[in-house]
Amino acid sequence: MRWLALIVMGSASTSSYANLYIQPNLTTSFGYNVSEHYATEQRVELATKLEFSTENIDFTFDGRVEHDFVYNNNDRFSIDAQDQYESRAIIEEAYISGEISNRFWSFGYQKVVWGEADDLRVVDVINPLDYKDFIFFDIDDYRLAVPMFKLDYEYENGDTLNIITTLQQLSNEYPAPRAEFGNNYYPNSEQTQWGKYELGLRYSTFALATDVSLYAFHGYQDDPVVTLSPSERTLYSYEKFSMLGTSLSKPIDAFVLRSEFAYFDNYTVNDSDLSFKNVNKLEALIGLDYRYKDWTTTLQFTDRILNGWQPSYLIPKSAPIYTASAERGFFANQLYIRAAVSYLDNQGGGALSQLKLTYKPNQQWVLKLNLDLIEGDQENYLGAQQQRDRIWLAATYYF
Amino acid sequence: MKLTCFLASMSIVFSAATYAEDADKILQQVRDRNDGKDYLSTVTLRTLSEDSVLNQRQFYMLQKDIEKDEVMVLAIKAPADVRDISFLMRSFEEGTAQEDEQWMYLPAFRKVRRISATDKRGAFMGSEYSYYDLDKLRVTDFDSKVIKTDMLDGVETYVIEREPKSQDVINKSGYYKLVTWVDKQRKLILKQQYYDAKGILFKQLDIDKVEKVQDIWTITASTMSNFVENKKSTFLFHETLYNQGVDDAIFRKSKLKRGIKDSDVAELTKISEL
Repeated sequence: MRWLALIVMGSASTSSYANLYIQPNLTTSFGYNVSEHYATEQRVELATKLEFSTENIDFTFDGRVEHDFVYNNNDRFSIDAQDQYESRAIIEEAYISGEISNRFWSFGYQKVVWGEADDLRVVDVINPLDYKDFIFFDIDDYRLAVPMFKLDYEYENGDTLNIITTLQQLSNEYPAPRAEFGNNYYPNSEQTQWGKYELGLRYSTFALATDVSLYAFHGYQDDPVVTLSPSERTLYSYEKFSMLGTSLSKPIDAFVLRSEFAYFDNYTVNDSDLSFKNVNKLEALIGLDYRYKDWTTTLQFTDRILNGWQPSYLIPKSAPIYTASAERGFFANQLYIRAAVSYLDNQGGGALSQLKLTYKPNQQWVLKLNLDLIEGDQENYLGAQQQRDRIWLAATYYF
Repeated sequence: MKLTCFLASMSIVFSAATYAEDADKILQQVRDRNDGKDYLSTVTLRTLSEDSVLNQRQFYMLQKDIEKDEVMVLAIKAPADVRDISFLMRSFEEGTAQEDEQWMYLPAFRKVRRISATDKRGAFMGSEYSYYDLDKLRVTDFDSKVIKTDMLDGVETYVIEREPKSQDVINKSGYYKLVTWVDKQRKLILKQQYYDAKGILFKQLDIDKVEKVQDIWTITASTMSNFVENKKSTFLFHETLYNQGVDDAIFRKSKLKRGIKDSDVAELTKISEL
């Protein structure tokens, strides 16, 4: 049932009104590690979307509370993992917004996506990520909302200028050791600090049948650099950097060419002795979409160059990633299938193969099945998770 | 005798040429008929297999002529799992070499994506209507001829046979031949049949209801039947309004991202609920 309430605050002739939309849903999901044969998730989630609109101001909320029963009396997972993931309340977005003569403002917890890439990040630097489920879901499912003020100015010709100021520095969130994807990537490193501002600018235009955007950002790295205290305790530091970037997308016959390019200035990495090294980083992405009848296929390639990279640095010299995907709907889109493969070509190589099925028997139910398979070298970012092949099932009911 | 044959064959050639010219003229009248400066409607799109509903969508449809181009926005409002997915399409004046432009906004990715418009054979929202079927009637892409006149549910119609002029048109539309019934008086397409490469009739459009809205003849219900897959999709247009002064800014990518809200439409129509 769609919940739509309407509150008429004045007569129709004055067009004064308030409109409330609430859409709650209940999801239950089950995850199972098919490599080592154990349950990884037995979760129940209650979520709602809410939109309240008046003539001058809108309020948007999207959030959920969840409990995962898999942690009950389960020695496979650590106490830290249980504390981190057993019960959670998550704000996907919560903000107010309005318009003043071609200026659209919004204030609150928001997610902003920059760039043209699919599930890869080059100029997409605003929101950090929650790696609870590694990179198995679509990237927006694990993007973390950041409190920010956003202003979009729209020029007469349709060009737009976006100005973003985040009010709190948030880092990527990594699973605790002995969580499903627990590992040694910065455990317990999360940091949130109010008053550490970040600034982002985007200018978007349309020229020669091409969508073009220019980006500038000054803020904090989402991943820490590590050092040791005199007592040998690990300390995490989130360093400042600046980025200039551009993206474009252009159709060429049945193809759409997408690309991104970014220059990171004063980017900080660790040396093997845990000292900090400032480097300049160039990162680029090229992607190609092809539509044939009901099929959409994509190919992407991205890589980076660290200017002045040394073998002693803790991050590899380059990180070439190739992705390919194909998707389409069947039976009037009741069944939707997406298959994707990603290959990270460094440190021995690693590949992630994914199959995602979505079935909608009616307007109320959405059933999902995801199969994620990993192989590769233990040194590789993907290959390190090769014992975490997973099947994941979920059923969502929309009230 | 030879002279008689020559005159007879000339007469056929002349007659065919006249018919072709008539067909294009009729179709141009259909294309150019008064359909307001702008248009908005709330739409239900339902796909059925026999009697079971496979898929149902409700969305806002807004159209406007901006200079000689036509722009259209479709914004899904229900069901909840696809709410706010929206499309922006720009069609350029027929005869210009410019390819149509299309964008899609997917709330799950918070991103407006450019879509190629050279292949419009894909199913629109999983229905039996293709993206090509949503386009404004294209006259010059086809060789057309009037093959007869016909009475259709008591309405006098021209029956026009149309064949794509090029492989590009076939690749874009997926159609090898169309047979179109045009209302003589109201200049509306009332029925259209679609043929595949083997000359088999595989799809048929039927206009179920035509109403006068603000003095403009308006299709308010239509059905597309797929005879191969035994499925059909119906468009139901509710609360259709013309000339509401829809702002050009509604038809921008940035607006797709912010979403076409109930309040936007309420403001335009003074109708407060979808």
